[in-house]
Amino acid sequence: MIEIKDFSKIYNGENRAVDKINLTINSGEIFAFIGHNGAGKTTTIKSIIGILDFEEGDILINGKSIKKYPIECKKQMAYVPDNPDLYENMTAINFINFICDMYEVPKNERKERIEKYADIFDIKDKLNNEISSFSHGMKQKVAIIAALAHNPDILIMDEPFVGLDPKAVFDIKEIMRKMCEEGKTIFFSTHILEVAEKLCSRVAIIKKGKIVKVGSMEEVKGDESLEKVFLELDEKNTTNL
Amino acid sequence: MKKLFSLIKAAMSQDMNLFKVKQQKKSGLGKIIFPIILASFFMICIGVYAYGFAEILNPMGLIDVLLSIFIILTAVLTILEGAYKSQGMLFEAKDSELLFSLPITKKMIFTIRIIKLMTFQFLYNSLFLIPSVIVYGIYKKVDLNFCMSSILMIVLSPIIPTIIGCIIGYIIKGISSKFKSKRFVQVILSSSLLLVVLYISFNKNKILEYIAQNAANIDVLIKQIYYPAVLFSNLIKSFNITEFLILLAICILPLVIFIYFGSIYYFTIISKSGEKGISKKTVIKNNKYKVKKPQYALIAKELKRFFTSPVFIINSGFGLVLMVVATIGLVTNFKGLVAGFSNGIEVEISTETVMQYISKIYLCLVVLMSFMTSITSSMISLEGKNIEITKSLPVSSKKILLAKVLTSNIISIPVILICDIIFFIAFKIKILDILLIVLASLIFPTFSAILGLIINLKHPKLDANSDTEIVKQSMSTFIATISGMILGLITAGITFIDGEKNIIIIIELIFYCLLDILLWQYVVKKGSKKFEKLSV
Repeated sequence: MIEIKDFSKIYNGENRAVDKINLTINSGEIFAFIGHNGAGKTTTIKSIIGILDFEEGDILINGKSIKKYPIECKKQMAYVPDNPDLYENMTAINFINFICDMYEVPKNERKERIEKYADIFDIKDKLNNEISSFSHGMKQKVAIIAALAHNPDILIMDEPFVGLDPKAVFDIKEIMRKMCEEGKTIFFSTHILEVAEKLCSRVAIIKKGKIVKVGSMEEVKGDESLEKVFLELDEKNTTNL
Repeated sequence: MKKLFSLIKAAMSQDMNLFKVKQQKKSGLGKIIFPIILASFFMICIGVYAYGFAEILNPMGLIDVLLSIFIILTAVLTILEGAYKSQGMLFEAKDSELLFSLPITKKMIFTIRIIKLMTFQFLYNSLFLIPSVIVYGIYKKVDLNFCMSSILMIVLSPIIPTIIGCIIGYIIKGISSKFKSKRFVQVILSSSLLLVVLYISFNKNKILEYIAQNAANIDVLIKQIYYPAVLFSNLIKSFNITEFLILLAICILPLVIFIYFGSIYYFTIISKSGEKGISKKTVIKNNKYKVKKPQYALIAKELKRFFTSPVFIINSGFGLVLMVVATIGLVTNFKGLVAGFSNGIEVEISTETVMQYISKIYLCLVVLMSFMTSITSSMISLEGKNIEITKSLPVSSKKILLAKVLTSNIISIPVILICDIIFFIAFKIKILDILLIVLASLIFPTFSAILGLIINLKHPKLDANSDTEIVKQSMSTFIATISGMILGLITAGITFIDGEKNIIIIIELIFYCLLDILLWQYVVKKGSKKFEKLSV
């Protein structure tokens, strides 16, 4: 479970990238975070995962504050960044193993999971290659395998579908559904509204650092399409501003 | 032409923060003053060195040779710098794909990068040449010709050495791009270049003697070593249009020819070096799933980062290479070194006298080489964009920083200890001296590692385009190198105050041991917080 309470992130003392947002993402939930470029999605995600310090509010991971207990919180989470800037000098298998070492995953478990996900994403025979030789999509696959290899309770992904081939997108969605059934929490940002519409139990729309709409898919869109609602909210907000 | 200026502007803004819109309200004065102070300090040191030379040369009526000596010295250093910097700036720049995708010629891209490299080389050269020109000016009449010719010399002198350096870098990159293990071959070739320069430095007396025997006078001698040096010093003495035109032709023509021919093969080399085992298909063996504790895994990651970056190995491990070379030299040619040193300072020193101080001399070598090996001063910067992955890991910042210090020690301490053992066996050292040297071999590299880390935490460069920018051009490595040299010289110098006794050494060891603990505590308390706040 992720609880975001009155969270604000201010850059350089004046630029309020995220402004007092409140969100709760429950266990067994797939939650999509939607917004324009620069709306505050990545800032929120980076703050949840503990790589960005923030000034106001708090973020609780299964009841523990990421500020006060960063290590305990991080142990329960996995993060897939929007731009997979991985350790380029490592091979894919070395990188995934490195991440597993950090999460202290036993040998048999990691072997089983790495082989399973490498098979799913069809990169088993590329694991010995250096990451620097991979395309964006391949790097993204490595980042996802590394994130899943330690079987996290909470999976946080920033634009996970960007650069992936259709089969990989389908496979990730299946994995996300399965994790959700197992009672795990999935929080991701996306620009692909169709995916959010079909996959998520709840959704939040963020604009200029503020949550403009949050709720279950039915609550947010009613009988309309999510795309239409998003565009209408966007227009409405722009007029109000 | 407009395109060229835009590209130069973009290239320079990457490295020098020029043309950048101020985003922060904070005053950047501190950022400017500190480098100026450091550069001034360095130039003062070079000036003192030049003054010492001038004091010897002036009574002999050879003050004009001063400039030639400094031009040659700077040229050698510039060639070496050019060979290493060109590998990063020309061949490993991260913006290659972007630039080659733009509707501009390959020649233009190559030219921009050469201009960028020349600018850095010019700044580097100025640190040596400005003090020598000022010292020369103290002994000679300063007029308009002197000033104009000096400026011309400072501007033009990096061109030829940089071209030579680039060609060497070009050859190294070209050869290594043909091999499967490109980086390994690059390390071997770059290290060989360093060893060749070291060999020449150690044997310079023999080489100079040989040239001197075959040269009619000192001008011919310098002309044989580096002809533009003669032209530069002649122009400073008295302006001559013919010599000025010859000098311009000598400097500018090779540059034009180099850019013309270099740009033909540039794209091919860049393309080849980008091909990294794409078609390799292998089965993962069971031993690939070996489990490591987080701390060991972090160290393994840092070691991998170190050993896969030729420029990182060569630049930060320079002290270690010198340590090995100096120890081998000391063991195999002890009498020759004593005689050479004795001749150099023109004071009769017997090998017996030196033997009395041999442990102390070696300990000073350990001190100097430890301080000159600053691996950690680049380690935070080398995280680059990966810093976000590192920060997202469920390990404390303390462990991440400790891994960096331990990696530095794992690389440096074994090399120093092996040198120690060779030295102990060759010179049959007493047990107390062995103990002190071994302690020094542990305490000083640790100090250097922690200090480097603190400096890099204060001056990180996470947005570099290549490893070269971090290792050779960043503020962090510059401060670490200068402070290491100063501290090393002071620490080594003090040890001789109490003659043959070891009291000062013991005090120093205790002092640095305490300093290691205190600085590490600082890293844990403040450094960890700084690390957590870092972002790209």
